[in-house]
Order: sequence, then C-alpha cells, then structure tokens
Amino acid sequence: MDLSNTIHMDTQALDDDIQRLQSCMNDLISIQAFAAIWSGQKPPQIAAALLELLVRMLRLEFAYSRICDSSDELPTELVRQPLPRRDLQAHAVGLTLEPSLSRDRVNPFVMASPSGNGDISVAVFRLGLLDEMGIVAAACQRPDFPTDTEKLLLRVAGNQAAIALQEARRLDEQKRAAAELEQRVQQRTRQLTAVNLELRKEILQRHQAEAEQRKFSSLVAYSSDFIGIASLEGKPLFVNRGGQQMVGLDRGEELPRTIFEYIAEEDRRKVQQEMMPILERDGHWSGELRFHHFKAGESIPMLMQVFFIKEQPGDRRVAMATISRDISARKRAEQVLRDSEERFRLMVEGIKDYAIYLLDSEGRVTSWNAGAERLKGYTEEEVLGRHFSKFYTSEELAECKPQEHLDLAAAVGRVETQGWRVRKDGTRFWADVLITALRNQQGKLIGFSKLTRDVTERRKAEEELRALKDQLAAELAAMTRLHELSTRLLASTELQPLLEEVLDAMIALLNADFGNVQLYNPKTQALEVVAQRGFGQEFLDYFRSTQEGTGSCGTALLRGERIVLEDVRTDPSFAPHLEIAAAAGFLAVQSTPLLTRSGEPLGMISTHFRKTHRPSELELRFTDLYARQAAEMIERKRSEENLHRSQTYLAEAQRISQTGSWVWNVSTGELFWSDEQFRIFGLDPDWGPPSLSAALQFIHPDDRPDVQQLLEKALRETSHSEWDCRIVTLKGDIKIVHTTAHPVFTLGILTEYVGTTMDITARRQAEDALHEAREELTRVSRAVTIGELTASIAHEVNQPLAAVVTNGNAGLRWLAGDAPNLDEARQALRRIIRDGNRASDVIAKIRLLVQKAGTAKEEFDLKETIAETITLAQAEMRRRDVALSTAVSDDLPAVMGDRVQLQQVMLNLIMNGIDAMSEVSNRPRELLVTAAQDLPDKIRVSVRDSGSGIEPQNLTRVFEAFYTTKPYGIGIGLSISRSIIEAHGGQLWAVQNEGPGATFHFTVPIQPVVSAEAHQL
Amino acid sequence: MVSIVDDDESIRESVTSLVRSVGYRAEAFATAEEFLLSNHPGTADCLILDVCLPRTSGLDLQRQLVSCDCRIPIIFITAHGTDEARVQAINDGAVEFLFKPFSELALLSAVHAALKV
Repeated sequence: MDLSNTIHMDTQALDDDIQRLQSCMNDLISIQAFAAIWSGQKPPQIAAALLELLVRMLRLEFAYSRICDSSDELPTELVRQPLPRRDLQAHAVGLTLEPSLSRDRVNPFVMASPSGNGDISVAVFRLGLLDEMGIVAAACQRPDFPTDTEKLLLRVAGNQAAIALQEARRLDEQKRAAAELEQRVQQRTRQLTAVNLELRKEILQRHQAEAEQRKFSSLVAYSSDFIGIASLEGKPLFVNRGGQQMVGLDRGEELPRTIFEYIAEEDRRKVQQEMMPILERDGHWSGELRFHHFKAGESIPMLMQVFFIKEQPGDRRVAMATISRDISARKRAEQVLRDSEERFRLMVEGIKDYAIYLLDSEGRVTSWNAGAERLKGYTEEEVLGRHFSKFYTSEELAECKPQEHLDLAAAVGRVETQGWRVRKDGTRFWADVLITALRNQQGKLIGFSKLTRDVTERRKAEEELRALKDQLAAELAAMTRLHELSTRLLASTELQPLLEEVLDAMIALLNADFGNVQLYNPKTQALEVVAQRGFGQEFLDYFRSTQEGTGSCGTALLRGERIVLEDVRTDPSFAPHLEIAAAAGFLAVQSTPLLTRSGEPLGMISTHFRKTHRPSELELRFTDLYARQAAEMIERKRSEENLHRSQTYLAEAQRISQTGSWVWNVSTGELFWSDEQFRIFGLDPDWGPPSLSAALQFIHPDDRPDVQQLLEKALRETSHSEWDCRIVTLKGDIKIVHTTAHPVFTLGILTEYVGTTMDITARRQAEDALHEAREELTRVSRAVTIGELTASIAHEVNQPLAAVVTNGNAGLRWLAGDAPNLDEARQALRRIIRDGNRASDVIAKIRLLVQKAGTAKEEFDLKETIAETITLAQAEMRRRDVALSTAVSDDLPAVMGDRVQLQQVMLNLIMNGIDAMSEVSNRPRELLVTAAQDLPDKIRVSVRDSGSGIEPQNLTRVFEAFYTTKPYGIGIGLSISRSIIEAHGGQLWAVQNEGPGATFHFTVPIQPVVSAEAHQL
Repeated sequence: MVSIVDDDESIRESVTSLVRSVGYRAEAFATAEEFLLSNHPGTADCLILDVCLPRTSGLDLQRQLVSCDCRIPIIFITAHGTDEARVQAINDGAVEFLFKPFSELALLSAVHAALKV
C-alpha cells in the first residue's frame, strides 16, 4: 500500500468519522429535545417515548424497558419495534431477557432474536443512580452494536430518561401527598358540617317551639271563648283577652277577687249548689250559666266547661280552669224557632180549606183545626180522643181501610189517597187525603199528621172532563172511521160498486140492520132503489119507485131533510106501510137525503133497525158528513160515466163521420189525437200521437208546402184556419182530408190549437163524380141550346160562305175582262178572306160552346163576351123577329171566371127571352141586355124580355131542375145557370117586369170567392 | 142601275162587286128604310132584295113598292127562305127567288132578265 493510498484511506476514515460524529451530535440534540418534551409526563409515557426514539435513532431490532414506578407497585414493561412491526410482547421479551439481566452485566451480549431473526446484540443500561428506576434494553442485529457513539447515545438517553422519570416520580409523590391532605381536609370539613347542621336543627326547633308558644298564647288571647284560670280558692289568676272583652273588662281593669263575680247574680246559687259539688266530685263540670257583664249589667248565657289543672307528675290539683262560650246567638235562634212554631200552629189552626189534624200512633185525634171542623162538622171537643176511622164510609170500614192506611204510612212514611169520607151529618164528600207518619229523633212512631181536602167539585169537574175526553176520543174514532170509509169511496171505479160501498158504510156507521140506496129520477120525479142490503123482493117491489111524501124516504125527499122514525108504529105518516115494514122486519128507520152540490135531490140513503132505535146525535152528524161525501162521489161518478158515455158517443160519431180531433199544445209541442184521427192516418193509437213535424210528413209532398204556409200564417196571426189536403198513409193510400184548426186562448195567450180532420176522400170522390155529371149536363145543356140555334147558326155560316162565293165570282169577272180590273179583284179577294174568317169564327165559337171544355178560370172582358154571345143569338133574334138592344157600360172591369160557362148562362137567358116572346104578336118583341157595375164589388148583367112573363109563384121554381114551360125543353137550363153563377160567387134571380115580360139578373163578383165548388165547376 | 138591300155587309159588298164586274152600276143599302129614303126607288132598274131584314122585311118592301105602283124588278135572295115566302114573292111579281149561297150565273141571269124587261 502506497502512501497516497494510505493517506487517501486515512482521509476516508476521517470523513466517515466526522460524518458519524455529526450524526451523533444530531442524535444527542434530538435526545436533549426529547428530554424537554418529557417534562411533566408520566413514567410509562416517558419510557415509551424513549424506546421509540432509540429504535428509530439506532435502527434497533427492538427496545425494551421495565420501569419501577414505586416500590409497592409492579414494574411496567414496554417493548417497541421499528414500525410497522408489532409481533413482540413486552412481558415475553422481559422473560427472554431475564437471565441476562439478573447478572450484573454492563457490556453488551448476544442472544437469539425473540422474533426468530437470528442473533441479536443487546445493550442494557440502568436508570437512576441506584438503578432503582428500572432498565432499558436495546437489541440490534448488527454484531458491532453498540458502537462507542451508540453507547454514548444510549447513556445520554438513559440519563435523560432517568432525570425525566425522577422528575415524574417526584411530581407523582407530590401529587399523592397533596391528594392525601385534600382528603383529610375534606373529612374534617364533613365532620364540622354535620355538627353545624345539628346545631342549626336545634336552633330551628327552639324557634318553632317559641312560635308555637306564641301562637298558643295568641290563640288563647284572641279566642272568642272565655278562657280563665283561678286558684283552688276561687281567685281569678288569668282571663284571656276575649274573655275580658266578653264581660266588659277590656280596659286593663284589675281582675275581680273571686270567680263568683263573673257569674250573674241569679245563677250564683247554681254555682254553689250544682257546679262546685260536681266539680269536686268528678273533676270537671259542664253546663249553662249566665255571666255578668260588668259594664252593661246584663246577663250573658254561657256554656261552660270547668276542670282542674293538675301538676305533673303527681296529679295534684293546682288550679281550676274554664273554657266558656257565649251562647246568646244560639239562644236567640231557639227563640225565633219557637216563635215560628207558634205561628205555624196558629196558621194550621186557622186554615179552613184543609182539615189538618194529628193522630196519635193508635189513630186517635189529638189536634183539630178550624178547617177540620168546617170540613167534617165536628168541633174540637167532640172529636179529640176519638178514633179517626169515624170519618170513613161503612164500606171502607168493612175493608179495614183506616188501619191499612195507618200501617202503610207507618211503613213508608206517607200515604196519599182519595176516597169518600163522611161528615158528622152523614153526608159524603170526595176527599184528597195525605197521612204522614211522625217520628221522634230516635225514630219512634209518635203519631200521624193528617191533611184532608174536599175535592168533590174538582172530582166532578174531572169526571166531566174525562167524559168530554171520552166523547172526543169517540168522535175522533168515528172521524177516523169516516175517513177510512171516505177513502174507500175513492177506490170505487164504477157507480154500482160505489153505491154498494156507500150503503155498507152507512149501515156500519149507524149499526143498522139493513138499508138501501135510492137515486132520484128527475123524469119520474121518484126515488128508485139502486142498492140494498137485507130486503126481500116484496119490500123492493113495494118501494121500487117512491114518490115524494111516501114513506120515510119520500118524506125526506119532500122536506129535503133527514127523517128519523124511532118507531114506525107510532108515526102516523108511516101507517100505510106498517104491513110491509113488519114483513121486512124493521121498527125504526132513518132516511138521509143525498143532495148535489147545487142542492138538487140526488138520492136517499135509508138505514133500518130491527128494534126501536134512534141514532145518537153524533152518529147522525157523521151520517150527514158521510152522506155529503157520498153524494159528491156519486155525482162525480155519474158525471164521469156521463163523460165516458159522451166520449164513447163522440168517438162513435167521429168514427161514423170519419172526423178525427186533435189538440196541439203550442208551448210544449205535444199533440193529442183521437182514435179516429189515428184511424184516418192509418196509425195504431198504442204508438201514441206523432210529433207535429212527423204528422206533417204524412201530407202529400205536393200539398205540404201550402199546408205549412197556412199553419205558419195561422200561428203568426193566431187565427182560425181550414184547408184541404191529401195525406199518404203508411200503406201508401192517398186520402183527402179537410182540416180545421182553431186557436184556444188562456188569459189572452195562445195556448193550444184544437181542430178536426175529416176524411173527405169518399165525399170528394162523390163530388168529383157529381161534378163530372154536372159538367156533362152543362155541356149537354149547351149543346141543346146550340141545337136550338142551328137554323140561325146555319144562316150565320151561310151568309159569309155565300159572300165568299159571290166575291170569288166577282173577282174572276174583274180579271176576265179585256182590261182586268186588278184593284177590284184585289178588293174581292180581301173580302173573301174576311168572310172566310168570319165563317170560321162562328164555327169556332160554336165548337167552343159544344166541346167538353175543362174548367178554365181566366180574367176576361165581360163586355166582349156579351157581344160575342149576342152575335151567336143575333141571327136567331132576327129570324124570330126580336129587336135587340144593349146597354153595356164601357168601363166594366175585368172579371175572373170561366168565360165559356158565363157565355152559356147569357146565351141561355137570351134564348129563354126569345122563346118567351114567341107567342107575342101584338107588341114588339124586344130584348134588352144590360151590364153595369152595380155595386163596388159586383157586376150585374140583366136580360129583359117583353114576353109572357112568369107567374109570381114560379119565380123561384123556374130554377128547379126539370121545370119547364117549353113544349120541347128539358128544364135544366136555368138550374145549371144558377149553379154556374153561384159557383162564381154570384146570384141569379128572376123578376116580373112592371110592364110585359120578365127580367133575369145575375151578378158576378169582380174578385170572385175562391171556393171548393168553384174549383170543381 | 142595280140596287141591293141586305143587312149582311158581306153579302151586300160581294153582290155589289159581282154586279159591277159585269158592267152595271150598283148601289147597296142595309135596310128597307134606307132604300126607301133614297131616290133609288124611282131610278133603280133592278132590286136585289134580302128576305130577312130588320123591321121592314124584304117581302114587306115588295108589297109596299107594289102598292105604290113602283114596278122595279125584284130578285130575292135569302139564307133561310121558305117555299111560302117564295110563292108569295113570285106572285107579287118577283123576277127570281134565290137561296144563299146562290150561283153567280143564276143571279146574273136574273139581273140580265130583269134589265131586259
């Protein structure tokens, strides 16, 4: 090894050494620092901290300590390992170390690791100067442990710990001494407190005793009783303040010389003779004595207790004492009571309405008041000492009632009873009696008080009241029965059962044996039996129809009031019927008329009795009530049956006339239909009436709008309305119905429409057939008229035809010449056309009249029509040498109607006029046709002839069908004419002229009335 | 100059035209009275007369003309004449009695004949 190396090595060792020393220094400083922390801690904590420091600082396997805290306690063992190891137990480590420790070893030693980690080096050092504090063992796996530095460190740490432990032990001892001292001081303090408490208790008791004493003294001093003490010789020694005030010595006066001075003079003798001997004998006395009031001089009643005060022990009497109470108030109360009792006695004696008297326990009278004397008639002298049973009736005496009453009163204290009692004069009165048992304070029976009141009047009133109540109850029962019977009347649905019910009820009401109901027949003015109970055929035949005044019922009918025959044998009016009554088996009868509400006779209810009998007033009263109800019910039922009959008739009438009726409620829209209405519409009544809108659906669609419009108008104007329309039934049949609707007002407000629906299908068909027939007849009539005109018409046609031919020839000739005259030829041709048209017109007019023209209503000019008609007849008139003149107003308004029919009428009248003049040869045959607006709404057309005229009696007959004066006429012309005019809303009539001939007038309205017939004609 | 009396205008006009077409003069009247009041009864060479006229008939006019010795040849025309009327007319001197409608030749022949007389 060279030097450098050696130097280097030395330097290296030096550095290590320096580093080690520095580390050691650091550790020492740490130990020092720990020592400062240990200060004030307990030995185990110090040891634990030391061990942990060593393990960490010296990188030990473990560190162990055994610290002896004090000589008398077991050492504390601790072991610490490097964290986190905790596998060693301190005591186990101690036991392992023990063999090495017992030796006085100062150097380290090697031993097997207790945790099995091979050998360990253990260094042990002792704590304390004398090792008395314990030991510390540090174990390390390093074989060189402990190094010198580590030894130093161990030693320093050990010393520091020892100092700390020493300090801790010292501190511990100081604490122990202080605690002992504290304990002694506390013990002493407790002893002193106990003594003190005892002392305080004694003081308190003494105070309480003193307070008791003071209270007692005040009690005595302020007691309202007289408390006094006297010597055995009777000299007063002490009297309390209350006592002194009681006797008027409350101003500090000297006490009297002897106790006698306290006693009122009148009682002093009693003191000497009664009180003192007893006191001497018994040692105490109590009783009443009067004290003397020293100021007022009056006596004070006192209740006294006097006794001796004895010496304890030995029982020797040393003084006498008294406690006495002023009993003036009690005495006064007793006096008031006595006065009250006296007044009560006087009152009892003075009461006159009640008999108040006393009985001894045996029942003998011991006192008697004025009321008793008045009530029973006995004076006090007469009755005192007598037994009270003498007031009872013989009947009650026989039943031992008096004793029974006394026994009962004695047993239960008091008896209240009512009964007859007997006066001295033997008369009886109804008495209300109260017997009360009297007992003394010991409960012994000493007698009875008896209080008796005459309640005869009250009893009478009560009996009357009871009778009234019974009567009312009876009436109520009867009313109830009546009500039941009346209720049953309501249940009867038909008249006959109702009558039977009425009769049964009446028999029951009157307890009758039999009876009958008759109804009044206004036609025969007789009563007829309609219901009966218990009569034989003979009786019924006899009284089947009873006239006024016959028998009881007839008499009742005559008089209009009820008849009661108590005994038919004694009633002269019944004499003729006695035989039948005997046969029927009755002796008494009552007949009650049944009257309508308006007082008219309705019938009669008679009830019969086998024995003579008169129903009570009550029964008769109820009979009246029931009869009234029955009459009402019968009347109502009759009305119902009549109504029912009427309804049936109405339904029948509706069925026959095929007229249904209906009611439509405007507000609810409800529709009521009669059975016939249903039938007309082909509906089942069980389905109920349809709604209005449904009903309208049955109307033929073509007619429906019109009907709806009519209905709306009627509703709007609340007016009456009628219409015809077709309805289509469910089966598809078409019917024509005529409906009327009439508004019904309630309080001025439209509430309903009532109406009828008439099936006029058949009528309409008949009318249509008639119409057709009439139409045909009219046409025939026209044809006949035209036929009459044939000659004239031929002429009318021939004329233009002749002219046509002539004109034709003329025309040809005008053209045929050398110089044809075209102008003339043209004129001829024009005339030909004109005349051809003229002939054609005539033919057309005739065809129009003759053809079967349908109804045609049109507006036309009457003036023109008249002219045309005249044209048709003109040739005839010429032929028949009739002069025609016309007077037709120019301003005739147009009329609405059937032109052809009106023309027919005019032609008919003109032809009649011509015919009427056919025989005339001595005067002009004149026919005048006039037409003018006669009235504002009518046009009058007149045809006046100068013919033979019409006999006045025939003026109307001429319009009858088939009436004619013409040899070849059929007599229907005027009849048809009239029907035509009437169908147009006009009139046709004939009048005889003032001169020769007759005039036929007819009118046509300017606004013709639209009627069904006008449509048909 | 031919006078024509007929209350029917058509007849009146057509006959007038026919008569005139063959070269005669013609004058027409609607009634007998009208004719009488004219100067024609004295100047007419022929009278064509309708039997049925209002008021004074054709036959009555003939009688009146005869009674006042006015011998105008008369040709009667009628629409509904009777044989009795025809006989009466011829007896009273009528030239012809024609029923309407009549032929032109019959009328014109009668007129020629009347004018030749």
